[in-house]
Amino acid sequence: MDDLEMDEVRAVFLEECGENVDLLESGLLQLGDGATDPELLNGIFRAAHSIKGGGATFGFQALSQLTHHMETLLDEMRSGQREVCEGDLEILLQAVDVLRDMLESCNNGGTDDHDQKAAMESKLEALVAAGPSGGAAQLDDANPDEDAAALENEAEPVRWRIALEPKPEMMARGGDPMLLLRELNRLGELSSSVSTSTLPDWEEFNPKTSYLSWELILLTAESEQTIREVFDWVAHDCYLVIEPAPESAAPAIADNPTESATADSVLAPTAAAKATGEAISKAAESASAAPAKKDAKAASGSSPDSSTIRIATEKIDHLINLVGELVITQSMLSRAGGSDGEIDPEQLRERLTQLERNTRELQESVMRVRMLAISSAFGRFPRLVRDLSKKLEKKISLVVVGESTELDKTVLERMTDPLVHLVRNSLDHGLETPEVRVAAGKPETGTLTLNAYHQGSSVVIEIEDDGAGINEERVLAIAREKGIVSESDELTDEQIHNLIFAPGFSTASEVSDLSGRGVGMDVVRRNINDLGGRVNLESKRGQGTKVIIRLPLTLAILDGQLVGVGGQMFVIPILSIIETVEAENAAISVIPGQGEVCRFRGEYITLIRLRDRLSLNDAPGTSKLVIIVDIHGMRAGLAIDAVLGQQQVVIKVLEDNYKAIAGVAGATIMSDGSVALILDPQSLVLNQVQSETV
Amino acid sequence: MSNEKTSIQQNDIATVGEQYLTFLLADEEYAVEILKVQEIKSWGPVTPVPCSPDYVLGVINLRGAIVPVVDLRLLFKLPEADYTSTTAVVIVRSMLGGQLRVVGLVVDKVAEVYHLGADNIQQSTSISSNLGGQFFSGLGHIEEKLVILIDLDRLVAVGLDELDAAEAEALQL
Repeated sequence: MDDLEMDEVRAVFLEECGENVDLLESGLLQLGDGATDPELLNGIFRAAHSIKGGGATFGFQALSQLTHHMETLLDEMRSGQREVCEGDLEILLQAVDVLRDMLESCNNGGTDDHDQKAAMESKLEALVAAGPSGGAAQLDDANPDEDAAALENEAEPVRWRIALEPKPEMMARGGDPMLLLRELNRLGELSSSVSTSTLPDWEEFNPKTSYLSWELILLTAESEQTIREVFDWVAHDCYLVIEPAPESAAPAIADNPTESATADSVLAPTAAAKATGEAISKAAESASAAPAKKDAKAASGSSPDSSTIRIATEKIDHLINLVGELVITQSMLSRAGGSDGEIDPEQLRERLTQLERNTRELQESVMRVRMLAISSAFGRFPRLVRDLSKKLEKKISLVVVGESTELDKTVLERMTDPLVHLVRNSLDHGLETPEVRVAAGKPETGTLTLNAYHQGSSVVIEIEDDGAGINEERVLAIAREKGIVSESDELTDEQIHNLIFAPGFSTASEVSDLSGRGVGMDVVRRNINDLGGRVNLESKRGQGTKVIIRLPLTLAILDGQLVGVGGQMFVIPILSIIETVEAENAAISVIPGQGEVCRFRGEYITLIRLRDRLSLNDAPGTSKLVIIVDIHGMRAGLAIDAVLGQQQVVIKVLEDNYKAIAGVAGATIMSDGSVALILDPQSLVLNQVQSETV
Repeated sequence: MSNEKTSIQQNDIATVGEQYLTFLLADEEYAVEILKVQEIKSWGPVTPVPCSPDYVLGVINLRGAIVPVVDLRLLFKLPEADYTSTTAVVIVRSMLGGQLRVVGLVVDKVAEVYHLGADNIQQSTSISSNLGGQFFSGLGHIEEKLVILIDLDRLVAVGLDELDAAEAEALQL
């Protein structure tokens, strides 16, 4: 097996490991004091166990060792010897954090070493040593080194006989007998003999096939369970017998197994051959009894972070069905179109309608392949809320609604950090301490609600708390002090709320390490805008705050408003449009040296004549309409000739073959095959403002 | 037997050299390496792109890809002419900084395909650098005829990205 394949298998393992760590964490968070739910405990235990087994097989020793200690503790909980208590969970959660760091380091091509690993292990060992009734309270008294030593001395070394015969395809599936042997060697004193009786002639030799089988004697203090775990990863790919061996039994050659594996070595005594026969029948039994393990996934890219996507089989099946239908429709269409000499207009029309429906369904399904449930972003919040509420000494319950809402993978990945920031903000600034809440006549426990749902072709995410709400006077005072708004400006409550997103704004009287540096909300809004989304804030004094994020379902398709300027067609993203007004009602006036402004809902906003901006001065037509767009809460009017309709457009970038153009977000292909440019209101307006101030 | 064949092929390459596609612009014949030509399309409407130089007419849809179209007459500062039925768009590919770029070039008329050996090419050192001369890599002789060889990579870099000479130099063009 070459390095490249090994790397791929490793990448798959690390990806699975990441999922298992998530499972571990969410499981632990669901556990409370005195929890006994066996299903939950088993689930957690299985996750830890998979990490440990895989880690050892793939040479991530530190990973495997740390999980081993966690597993010991979890096993006691699972078997009822130990009561689940908050202190234990805290330590286990810390260990999960260390695991996650290790995985990240491995993913980035590093090793699984971690400076906190040893400390974490001794903490876990101390917990186990402190006994079932113990818990974190006794942690400090226990001396981890001594206890660990005591544990190891408990068991007498036992002699085990292990017969291992890999199936021919084992190596092709990523199993490597050498790794197994190395792992066994770590458990204790290993002696081995290898059988080469099935080796073919050199001409027929396939380097990816395993022809060898081993007879091993292992002297170890570890349990049979531990030995079996070594083979976990290859359980389906080999025949295996593990049994206690009589003292006298010794392998034919007590040598390094690889060195003895020469073609002319004569061995395999009849006893071993017999044992192998037994092994086959036994392994067959155990294989059928063992729960079906997930097959290694076919998809695995070179960089494990974002290049792969896991898709539900049903989504793919659905796609295949649709393509099948499309093929049928196409053949029916060509028949209706006169392939047999006669054109039937009625049938042709009917088939074309069918083709249109097929195409639309196919497009939707293909888009759905990139969609992920938002639960993967929401999943980290229970832990965050738990940790923060402890730190802030607040009582907070988290309610999550609409976890299964799907949105584009890229959008989701880029939304995770802004969401974390918003949640932190709510916890830190929004929700009050229990005393304050009780004094205000509210329940002691605050509620933070995360809600996600689809609305038209956008996804809405709401982060709502029932905390103190925004203190408008204070926000305004700070904004004036920092020069974000001038003294004379009169602002509505809504405008004041959105000041929170202004660069350099922070209301926290003292900066905490959680939030309050005044960079966060600014970045949050920019991230959301970059994704083509919008963020708004609603707040009621004493009742709470709600942040509403509106995102496009996908970055590849955009809801566009088609507009005509100078005889050309342009697309403006609908998300940025507030409304369209007639130019004669817009009270357009010229401010010398400042360009033009128009009146919208009582305020004067910048007016941009797209004819000028797009160098279409000589083109026919007049600007009869003004589209009001919203950028970062700032409004501007775009003068256009005509509104032509709304359509979903596929975004193509100009940079591929040309270059980026200020004011143009990209291009799209219209139904007649022509190209229309997609305008970027944000850069149009910002460029205009800049050129005016110059 | 096989040795003989190889030597013949080598001989072919030495005398024949590379193939070039030639086209006409204001009665002058220009040549581009044929391996860099993807296809030839008839002239069709383009969508203008704002904030672009005048010789970039706009973009077209080439089977789903957005491709810029350059009018070579305008780029080479030749007199403007009407687009006629012989006007063609030569779609060329250029690798620049590891990125493949597809660009359409508007020409008066596509002419011939020629083989040009090194013997028939005069390098561009003596050609003046004005009037678009910076885009030419040399002159080719075909019998008594003269064709101007175009350096496509340089044309794309300087024409589309509007790099100045120093930046183009840095890209080793």
